[in-house]
Amino acid sequence: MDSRNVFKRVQQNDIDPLYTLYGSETFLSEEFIRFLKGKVLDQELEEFNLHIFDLNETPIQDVIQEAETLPFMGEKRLIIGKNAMFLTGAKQTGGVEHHIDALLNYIQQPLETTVLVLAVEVEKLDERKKVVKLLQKHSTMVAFSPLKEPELISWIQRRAQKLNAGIDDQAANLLKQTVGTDLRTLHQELEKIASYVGARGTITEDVVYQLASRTLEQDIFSLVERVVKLDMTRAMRIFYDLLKNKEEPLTILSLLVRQFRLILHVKILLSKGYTQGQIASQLGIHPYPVKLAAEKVKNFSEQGLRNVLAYLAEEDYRIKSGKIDKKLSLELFMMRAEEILKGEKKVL
Amino acid sequence: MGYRALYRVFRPQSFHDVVGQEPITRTLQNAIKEQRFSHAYLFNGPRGTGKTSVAKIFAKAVNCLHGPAAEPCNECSACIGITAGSVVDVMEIDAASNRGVEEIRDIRDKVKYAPTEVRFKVYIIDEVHMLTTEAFNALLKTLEEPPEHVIFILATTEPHRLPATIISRCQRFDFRSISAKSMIGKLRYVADSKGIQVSDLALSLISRISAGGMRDALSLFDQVYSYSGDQIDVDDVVVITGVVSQQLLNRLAEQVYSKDIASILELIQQVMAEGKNLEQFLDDVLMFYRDLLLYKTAPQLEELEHRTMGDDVFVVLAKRYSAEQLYHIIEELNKVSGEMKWSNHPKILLELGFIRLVEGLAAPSVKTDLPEIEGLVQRIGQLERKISQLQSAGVASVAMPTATATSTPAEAPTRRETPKRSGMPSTVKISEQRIKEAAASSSPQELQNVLQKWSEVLNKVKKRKIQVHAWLLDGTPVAAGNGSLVVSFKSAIHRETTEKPMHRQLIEEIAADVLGKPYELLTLMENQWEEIGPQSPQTGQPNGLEQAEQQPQESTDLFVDEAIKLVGRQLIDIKD
Repeated sequence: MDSRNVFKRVQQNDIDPLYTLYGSETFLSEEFIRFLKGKVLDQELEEFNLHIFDLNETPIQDVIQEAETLPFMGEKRLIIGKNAMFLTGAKQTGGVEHHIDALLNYIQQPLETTVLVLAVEVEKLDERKKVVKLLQKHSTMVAFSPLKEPELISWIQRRAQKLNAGIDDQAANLLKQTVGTDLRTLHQELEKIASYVGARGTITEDVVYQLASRTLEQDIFSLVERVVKLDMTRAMRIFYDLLKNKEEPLTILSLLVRQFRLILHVKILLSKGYTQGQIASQLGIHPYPVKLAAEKVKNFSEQGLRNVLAYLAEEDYRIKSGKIDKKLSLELFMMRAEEILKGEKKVL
Repeated sequence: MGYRALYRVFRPQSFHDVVGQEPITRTLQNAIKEQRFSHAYLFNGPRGTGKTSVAKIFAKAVNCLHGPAAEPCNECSACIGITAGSVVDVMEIDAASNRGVEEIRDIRDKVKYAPTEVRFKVYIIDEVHMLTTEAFNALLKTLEEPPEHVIFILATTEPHRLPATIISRCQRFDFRSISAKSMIGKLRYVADSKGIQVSDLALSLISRISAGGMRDALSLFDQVYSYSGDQIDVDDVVVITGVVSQQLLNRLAEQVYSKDIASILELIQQVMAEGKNLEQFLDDVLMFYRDLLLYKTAPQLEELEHRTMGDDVFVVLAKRYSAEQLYHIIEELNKVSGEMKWSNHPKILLELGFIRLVEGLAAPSVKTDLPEIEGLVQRIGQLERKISQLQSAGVASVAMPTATATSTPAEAPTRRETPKRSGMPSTVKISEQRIKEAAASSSPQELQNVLQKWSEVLNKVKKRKIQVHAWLLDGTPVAAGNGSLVVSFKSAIHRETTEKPMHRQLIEEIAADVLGKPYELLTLMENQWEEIGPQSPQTGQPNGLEQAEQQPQESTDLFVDEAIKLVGRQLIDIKD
C-alpha cells in the first residue's frame, strides 16, 4: 500500500492488527510508527503497552509471546519488531534462532487487542517464502521507498509548512541539491533552517546556502559548477571550506577529474547522436549524473575539456612526485581554470 | 587563583558573546524560544571556532532557571553550576580518551534516568570522531530513540569520520572559521578591557597567523602580551612568531617587480640575519604571491581579508602584476622550495631562485605610464641605438657581452612599446661572418650527429660544472660543420654567460670529447638565427637543416621533441 494512504487510514482510526513495513526510507517508516503509537496508545500507559524489539537480538517467538499478552489497563498493545530479516532473501546472521511457525500461527489468528508491526529496511521481500505470502494476505503491507524528484520537492514544502515556515521552489530545489535526497537529513536541515527564519518566516535560497550542511559529493559538484560559471569567489570559498573540514586535496582532485571526464564523455556521445539514456548505459552509470552533465555540456568546448583533463593529470603527477604542494596545485588550477578552459591549444 | 589564559577568561558565556557564528547562534536561540529543539546536535568546524563554547551556552540556556530563554542568565544556580562543571546532569565527555564501547554503553544505561538538578540532561561529547565503530553503534542506538529529557551535542573537527547514520540523526551545524574582521574586533575588545595598547597591523597579523581560530588568536595575543607588556606593535608579533611581516613581503614584491636584484639579495641577507628559517620564509613569500593571484581572481574572498585590511600596498601590488607573471613567479618559487629541501645551501638556492625569477619576468603588457616602464623604455632606446651603431660599423670581432646595464643614460626615444621579435632587439653582437660561414658549411648529417649527442654533452657538462649546464640548457645546436658549432639561445643572459671564456673552454673541451672532433663554439640569439639561418645557401640539402631548425619551434609536443632529441628528426615520421 502507498505510504500516504496508510497514514490517512490510521488518521481515521482504521487500524489493522498487523502491519508489514519495508523499504529503505526508514525516516518515513519511523514516522509512521510514531504516528501509529500516538493513535493506538495512551501516553501514560506507553510504558506498559509498548514493546520494541530488535529481531537481530530477539527471536520472533518471544515477540509473538509478547503479542499474545493482553494489554495492561489500556485498550491496545503495540508490539514492534525491527530488522525482520527473515522476510528477505538475505542470509541469517547472528545467533538468534527464529521459530517462524509461531509467527505463521499468529498471522492467521491475530489478537484483537494487539497491533503487531514488523519492519525491515530492504526494498524487496522474498515473496517465495511462506511467511511473506501469508503476510501479504493477512497484513497491511506498506512500502516506504525513497521519494522521486517531484514528490521530494512537495515533501519538502509540506515539511516546511508543518514547521511553520514557507519555502519557495528555488530554495527547495537548492536544498535538495545541497543536502541530497535522504529524508532524515532533509528533515534535520529543514528543522534547523526553519528555526533560523523563525515562526512564519520564509526560507529563501540565500538562507539555504548559508545554513545547509553540504556533503562532499555535492560540494564537488557545486565546485565544478562554479568553475564552469567562472564564479571563482564561490568556487574558492567551497574549496577552502572543504579543506577546513580536513578533506584530502587529492580526493578533491580526483572527484574534479571525474566530473570533467564525465562531461567530456557526454559531450562526445551527444554529438554522435546518443540519447541521455543510451549514454548512461554506454558509460555504465546512473542516468541522473548524465542528465546533470548534459546540462553543462554547452558551456565547454571539447578542446577545453581535454585541456582540463590533461592539466589535472599532469598536476596529479606533480603532486605525487612531490614537485608541488597539493593545496597550491589545486588553487592554481582554479585560478587558471578560465584560461585552461578557453585555451585553443594545450596549456601545459 | 593564579593567572588564567586569555582564551579562558574571555570564553563566551552567552550567545551574544560568540563571535562570527551568527547564523548558528540565531538558529539555536530561535529553537529555544520556540521550544523546538532537537535531541541531538552535531557541531563541526575547525578548532577554535566556538563549538564547545556554544554547546555549553546552549546547555545553560535550556536549563537556566529563568528560562528557557534565548540567553542564559549566568546568575542562577543552574547557570553557575554548569559553568563551573558541577551540575551532574550536564556531562562533558572527551571522546578522544573515552572512546570505547564501554563508556558509551555507560551513557546509554544512564540516559533513561531523569535529570536530578536541571530540566535537561545534556551530554556534550567532544572530539566525537575518535569513537570506535562499536562505540558509534552503541551511540546510534541511543540517538535513535532518545528519552525526552536528553540532549546530545556532538562536537568534532572531522565530520567525515562519523558514520552517515550518526550524522543523519543529528541536527548539524557547520561552524565557519572566524573572519578576520570579527576576529580583529574581538581582539580589540579584549585589548581594551585589559587596557592594552595594540596597533591595527599587529592585530591583523595575529589574525593571519591564527587562520580563523579564535583560541589560537587569543593564545598568541596572550603570548605577545606577556612578552611586550601593555604596548604591542607588529614587530613584537613578528619577534614572537618568527613570521615575516607583511611590510617585508610588500617590499620584496616591489623589488621583484622592479627587478632590483641587489635589494632582493640584501633583503634575504637581512632575513637570514634575523635568524629566520629560509624555508619558512620562502613559504611565506609563496603564500603571499598566491594571495596576490587569488586577489586578482576572487577579490571578495574572506581568506584575503587579513591581507587587505589596513594595507593598501597589497591591492596596488595585485593590480600591478599580471596574472601571467604571478603564475610564473609561483611556479619558480615552488620549484625552489622543492629543491631547497634537499640542499645543503638553501640560501644559495633561494638567491639563485630569485635571480632566475626576476630574469624570467616578462615585461608587463599594459600600464605604460608607470615610472618603472618609463625607465625601461629609456634603456631599450639606448640599446637600440647602440645596435644600429654597431651594425653600421660592421663589427666582426668575436662575440662579447655589451648589454651591461651600467651604460650612461642617453636621450630617450619616443617609442613606448617593447619591440617584438623583429629586427635584432636582443642586443647581441655576433660575428655574423663566421656564423654565416658555419651555417653555409653545416651539413645535416653532422648536425644530426650533434643533436643526438647533445644530451650527452649536457650531461657531461653538468658533471663537471652544474652552473654551466644550467646556462647551456637554454641553447639548441642549430648548425654544425667546418669545425664550428652554432648554438642558438632564447635568453640573452644565458647566451652571454655561456660565452664567458671559462665556460666556452669547458664546453668546447667536452664537445670535442663527446663528438669526436674539435668544434669552435659560436653562439647567437634565436631571432638572429632566424635571420641568418634561412638565408644561408642550402641548395644541396633541401629538407635537412631547414626542417631541423624550423619544426621544433612549431611542435608543441614535448614528447615528440624528446623523441627527436634521442633519435633525430630524419628517423621520425609524425602521424597526427
